[in-house]
Amino acid sequence: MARNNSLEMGELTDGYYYILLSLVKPKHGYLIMKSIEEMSKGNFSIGPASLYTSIKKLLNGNLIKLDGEAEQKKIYSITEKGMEALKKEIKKKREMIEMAEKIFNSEELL
Amino acid sequence: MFSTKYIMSNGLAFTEREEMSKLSCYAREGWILDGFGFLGYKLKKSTPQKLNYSLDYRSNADEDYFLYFKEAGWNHVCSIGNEMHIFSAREGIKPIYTDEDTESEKYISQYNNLKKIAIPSSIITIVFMFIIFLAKNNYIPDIFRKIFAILLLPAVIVTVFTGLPCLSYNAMANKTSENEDNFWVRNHKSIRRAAVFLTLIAVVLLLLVIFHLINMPYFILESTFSACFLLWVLLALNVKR
Repeated sequence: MARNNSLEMGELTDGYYYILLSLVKPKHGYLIMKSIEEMSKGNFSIGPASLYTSIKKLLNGNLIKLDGEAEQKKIYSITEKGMEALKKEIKKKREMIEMAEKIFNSEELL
Repeated sequence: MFSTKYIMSNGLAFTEREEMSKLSCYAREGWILDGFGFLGYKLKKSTPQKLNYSLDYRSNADEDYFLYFKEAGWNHVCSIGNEMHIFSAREGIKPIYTDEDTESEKYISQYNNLKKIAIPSSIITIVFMFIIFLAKNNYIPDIFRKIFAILLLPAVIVTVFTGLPCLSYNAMANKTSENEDNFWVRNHKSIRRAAVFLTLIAVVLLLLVIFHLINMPYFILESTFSACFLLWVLLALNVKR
C-alpha cells in the first residue's frame, strides 16, 4: 500500500536522502531543489509539492529543524537525529555496493 | 468576440487528471485559465500556449510554498480559500510531485478533512431513514415521518457531496500511478455520463411526485435513487490518479 510512511519506519526514500544531504549546510527551502539537481548532476530532481510535503514530514520527525527566517524565507538545517539517519543510510548503501562489487569481482565482470 | 469564457467542472475529486488536461487543451487554443468561476473555471483569450496544469491541496499555504513552485518553473494561477491551488507551467517542466509517498499524502489530507463531515452526516442520514421506516410501519406516530422526511433531504445532500469525494480521495491515496485497469476505470467517462443522466431522471421523477403531477409507487423512486447512488459510489471507488 502506498500509505506506508517510510520515514516512520526509519527508511529514507531518495527524496529524503537528497534533502538531508543538501541540508548538511543550512539552506533556504527553495534552494534545496537547485542544490539537489546540481548534486545529482541532473539525475534526480524533486518537484515543489513533493519538496514542501517532505520538508513538513522531516520537520515532524525532527530530522531537520527551522534555523530562522530571512526576508520571510525559511532556512532549514539537519538535526543530530537527521545526521544519524543519513549516516545509517549511507552505511546501508555502501554495504549494498560492496556486496555487488564482491560478486562482480569474483565473476570477473568488472 | 468575447474574451472571457466560463467552463464547467465535473468535480475535481473525481476527474482531476481529466480536468487538468482539458485546461491544457484550451490553452493550446489560446484560452488561458484565469481563475475559478462559478462551479468551474474562468478562461481568458490570449495567444495559444503549450501549458501543463497541476492541482495541489494545501491548507494554510505560506509564502515559501508558492516560492518553491516559482523556483521550479510553475506559475500560481488561482486558489480557492488557501486550500486548493492550481499551477501552470510550460511543457517540459518537471511535475510538482516526483514520488508516490508525497503524492499519496495530498489525497490522504483531503480524505481526512472531508471524513470529519462525511462520517457524521452518513450516520445522521441512516438514523433519519430508520426513524422514517419506523413511522411508516406505525411503530411511532406518523408526524415523525413528515418531519424526518424534510430533514432527510439536507442530510442526504451533505452526505453525497462529502461522502463521494471522500471515497474518491481514499481510492486515489491508495493507488499508485500504475493503476489496475478495470472496466470502471476504462469507461469512466461514459459511465459518468450515464450516472448524470440517471440522476437527472431520478430528480425529475421526485419533483413530479412531490408536486403530485404524477402518481407512482414509492419503490420505483427509491430504487432509481439507490441505483444512482450505487453508480456514483462505484465511480468514486474507481478514479484514476
